[in-house]
Amino acid sequence: METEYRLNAPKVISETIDGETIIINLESGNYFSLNASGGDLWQELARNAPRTAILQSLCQRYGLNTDEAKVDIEDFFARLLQENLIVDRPAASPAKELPSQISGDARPYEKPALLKYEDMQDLLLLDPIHDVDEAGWPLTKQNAS
Amino acid sequence: MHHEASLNPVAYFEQVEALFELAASRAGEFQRLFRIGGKILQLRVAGEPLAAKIFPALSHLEVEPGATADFSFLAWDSSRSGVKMLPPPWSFDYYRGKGEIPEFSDDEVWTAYQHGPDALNLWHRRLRRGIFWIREAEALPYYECGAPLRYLFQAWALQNGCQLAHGAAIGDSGGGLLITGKGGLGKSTTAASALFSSLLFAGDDYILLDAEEARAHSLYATAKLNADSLDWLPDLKPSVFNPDRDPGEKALLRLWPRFADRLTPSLPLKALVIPWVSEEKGGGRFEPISPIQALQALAPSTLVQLPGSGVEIFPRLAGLTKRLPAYRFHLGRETAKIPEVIQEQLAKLG
Repeated sequence: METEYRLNAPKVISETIDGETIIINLESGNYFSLNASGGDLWQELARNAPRTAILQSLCQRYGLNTDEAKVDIEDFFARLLQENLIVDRPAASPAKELPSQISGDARPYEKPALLKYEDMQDLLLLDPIHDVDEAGWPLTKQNAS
Repeated sequence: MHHEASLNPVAYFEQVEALFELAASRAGEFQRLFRIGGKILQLRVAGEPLAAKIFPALSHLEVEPGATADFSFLAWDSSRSGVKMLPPPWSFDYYRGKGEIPEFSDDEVWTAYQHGPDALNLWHRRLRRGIFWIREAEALPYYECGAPLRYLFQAWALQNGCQLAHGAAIGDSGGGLLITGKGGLGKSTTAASALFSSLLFAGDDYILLDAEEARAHSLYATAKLNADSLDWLPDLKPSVFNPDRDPGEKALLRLWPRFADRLTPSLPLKALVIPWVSEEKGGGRFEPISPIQALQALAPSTLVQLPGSGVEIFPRLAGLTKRLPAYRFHLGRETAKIPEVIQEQLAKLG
């Protein structure tokens, strides 16, 4: 049985407005945008749709053949997994009782793509503790003498 | 580490509060009232050095003694008072990225250790009382003097359905713009340029945001400018608080009392704006952008810099971007003309 995926909430948060999507990984500080087909797939993942349904919806929406769409979806899921934006879920868990959010006219098909922004890294102190004072309080590097 | 399972967050808060009282009695207490987001803050600081670091950024919001406080902050340092802090009763690996300590927070007390300034923040939800402690007041970094106590303000704001946001807010009596985005894009230049016009200024780096009401409340009468921006706005140089700064530091401007007539405690928001340094002629131009582009500028920098649950804060920011129009502001070469372009845009927004 194929692995099913779900969004990595609450570590990952996202919002889709007017067909555009932003995703934020709260742990890494990285954030992401998606192209139109990537946004469609994200919406399907958000409602725990099974892979078969995701494949079907992408094929229908963009008039793709199954083999072509399957490769694109696998590549896209691999990217999402690489960035810890999705995680495995038990295959038997039912889809959420949510209708598909995909609506409106599809734009010309482009492979689903994830654009990554890393410019918040400088602001995020992932491991700032470098020293400790005699009472046990952390001292960040620039304050430690 | 000093793990004492019997010491719960409330008991720890009470013991640290007792230490504040001791510090205040030894170092002298400085107490003022401020109106922030329509609520009265009683701020009690132990020792003159820390008071001198904290009070100026909030001066524009000070109110006369006598008002009943809605919430209070107690701030102290060990150096001036000679009062030692209790050791941390949590394990070293409990610190999260923004210093939050969820394992030592509960329904009543929120605990966070601010990396960088190395300051402990405790917020008691039921008492609406916060405690800020730092080893040595003199070591409080310049950027903390520009935006002091923001972890405690965030804890208080979240309890009241608001939050801090990373952004500047300027406007006129009819409403204003929330100017946001990562550093270096012209946010501070845009906001600071307003000081030499009839525009009102509610904040440069952090504001108190009521996303539901689409309103920005002022927190700090300060601005931070890099060297280029200060050269573009040379009349601001007399307001620089850290003239002998290190090369990596920005210039911190204290805007009160010099710009008292430009500072406003609150602005209803008409639009979200992301500045963009460009070579446009004149003061610049506004270009409509999508709600997601605005959210992309507002949310990551707010969530990464400030404590609080992204799951709680992000939907509010998203809601704001759905309600307000958003623009990219291509800054023009003529800084003096920026306020004029902003005023025209505000007039168009009605």
